[in-house]
Amino acid sequence: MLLWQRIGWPKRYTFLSKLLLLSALGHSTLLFFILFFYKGENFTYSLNLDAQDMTVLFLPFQKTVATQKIVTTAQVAGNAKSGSSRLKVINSSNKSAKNKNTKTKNKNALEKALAKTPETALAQAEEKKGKNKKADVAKKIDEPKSEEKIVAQQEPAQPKEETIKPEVVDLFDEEAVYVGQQDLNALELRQELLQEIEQAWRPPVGLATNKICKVRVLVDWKGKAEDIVFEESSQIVAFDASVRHALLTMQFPKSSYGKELILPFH
Amino acid sequence: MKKIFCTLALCVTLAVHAVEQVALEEVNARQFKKMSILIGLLKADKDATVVSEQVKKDLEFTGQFSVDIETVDALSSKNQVRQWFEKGYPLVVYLQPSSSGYEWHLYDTTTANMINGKKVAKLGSSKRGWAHALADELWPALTGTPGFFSTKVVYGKEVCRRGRNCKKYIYIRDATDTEGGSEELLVASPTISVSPRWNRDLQNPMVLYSEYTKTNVRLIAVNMKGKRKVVSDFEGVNMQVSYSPEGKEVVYCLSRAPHASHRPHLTSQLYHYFFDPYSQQACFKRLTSNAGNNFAPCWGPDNTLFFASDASKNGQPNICWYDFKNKKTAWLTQDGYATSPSYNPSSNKLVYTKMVNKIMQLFEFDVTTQQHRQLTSDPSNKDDCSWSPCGNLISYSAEVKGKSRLAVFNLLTKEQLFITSEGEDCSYPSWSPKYAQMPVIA
Repeated sequence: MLLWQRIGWPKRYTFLSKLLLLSALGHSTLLFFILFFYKGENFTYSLNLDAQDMTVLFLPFQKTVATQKIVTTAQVAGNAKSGSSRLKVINSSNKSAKNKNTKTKNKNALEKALAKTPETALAQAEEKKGKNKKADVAKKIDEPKSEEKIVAQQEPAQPKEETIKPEVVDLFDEEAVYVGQQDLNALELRQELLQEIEQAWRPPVGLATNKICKVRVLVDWKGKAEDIVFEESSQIVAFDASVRHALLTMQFPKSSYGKELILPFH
Repeated sequence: MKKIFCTLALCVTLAVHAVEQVALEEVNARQFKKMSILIGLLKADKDATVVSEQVKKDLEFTGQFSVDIETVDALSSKNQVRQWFEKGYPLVVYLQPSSSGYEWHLYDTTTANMINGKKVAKLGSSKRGWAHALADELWPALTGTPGFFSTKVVYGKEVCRRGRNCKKYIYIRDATDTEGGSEELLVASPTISVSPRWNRDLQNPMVLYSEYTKTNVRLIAVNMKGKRKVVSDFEGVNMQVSYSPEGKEVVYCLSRAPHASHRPHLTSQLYHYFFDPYSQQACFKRLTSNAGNNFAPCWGPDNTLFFASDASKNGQPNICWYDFKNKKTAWLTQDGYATSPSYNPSSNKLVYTKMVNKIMQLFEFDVTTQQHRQLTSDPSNKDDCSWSPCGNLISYSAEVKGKSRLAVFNLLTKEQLFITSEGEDCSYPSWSPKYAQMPVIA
């Protein structure tokens, strides 16, 4: 059979099939490249999840937000009260800033010196260092008063600079319980049911103070109790009767239609 | 292939028909309401009507049920029973008189099934007694607790002739009687009779009371036939007997030492009277020995005794708790004016009266939790508390417009109900235990 086919296979068919194969190979290579390697700058990927009317919410796992502290007048006043200690801190910070400046200056000088001749430059640099040190000491002796004055003038504006600090705020409260939509619906149904039943059920006072009556109720599509089964009786006729009466006369909430409820009455 | 197809079809069917289950953790009653019950009276005659009316009063006295009576020609079919549900009755009691008693059948109107049914024999000639016996049988079937409708209340009542020559007699009446129709005179001696109390022998009901004589106040026992016997006639005051739970020992007050062997005293002291099986003799032991007055003894749990004593720090009466084992006394109240303790074993609670803003109010002490709780706050002075056997009701005397009336406080509904009329001066109520037969004066 195959032999017969081979014999009868025309050449143009072979050519066309080779062409088709080549084209398919080329296309597949191109698609493979596009799909798995090249995604482009504006590549978008969309995913739709739809499982039985359940909406899926993508919540960020953790988010950091840089916020600015609001500085109240009371805080400013408080800052002003603790003036002496604050002044010391500011002074020390200014000093350290100045020291940094001198260090950078020294570094530049050393670089320049090294660029010229190593030995003379070093000697010059050391001399400059000594001068700078002397100048610094002189400045230190003169400066404190002026610095204090400056700081005292700048004080009211100072807290703003200090309070603008980025803070990490956790959007997720550790104590809160995060539930999915299905759980939320179930919780709402339970609350609604509990409210309706507790409104309808009015037993006589003083019955079965420490006993439980567990009931299985099937709610029909009109919101009425279709089938009531006492899984656990309180052994008190009046108590059980009050439960049965309440369930048979009440209108169940829409969310419970067609559902089976297990209700433990206390 | 067919098998696989059938299995798949079955699985699909089950999956489609599976009902979603919702389970709630706890349903608690937020509001309470009297339950409507119907008494269906079959073959109604005069007696049956009276009995059903009394049963209705008994059930409604508790504040838990609202009862209606309807005459029914015959025991209904299931559909007819279900019709009562539409009219708002979850339960129906069919009452049928017979020659020897009454038959009752309790039905659930939703299922039209009989829950319980019994026959109660007519004991005695009192229709009230039959009704109380019927209510006592019906009550456990409804609530799961023993009935108390056959109990009585004994009390002292002031009787005056033409507004003069007033005397205090001893009367008894049904505990659930608020109209006074069952009131019977027990003691009508031409003197003052006070502080009656019931004994604990459930077969032989008896009342012990104190009677004023020219020389002393003696203790007398009287049975339901009116037969009286002096039981304690020592010098001074002999009164306020309290029986032990078994009913074989008593504690009461004496204002003088009964024998020369006892140390003399001029104030009221408590004495314990019992039969000693070793010496085969009756023993008489003094329990208290202080300078104050000790009174209102009341047997407590685990061989203990509650009483009131003014030998306190503030010199006013307060409640004490005496232990027979180690012979030690503890103060339950110390900072006020508290008297009239009464203990109920079924609820394990003590009730007493305590002065609040110059008015004596009812207080409760839970022996289990050791907590005190004020029960009343109305402007009448209360005294002489006594528990019902069920532990849900407390009888006491309340002073209204200068006269003392008997009242019952319902612990479940928190309501106060007067059981004697406004014009009468009644005091010292004592609620009887549930005797084998309802005490009726012969």
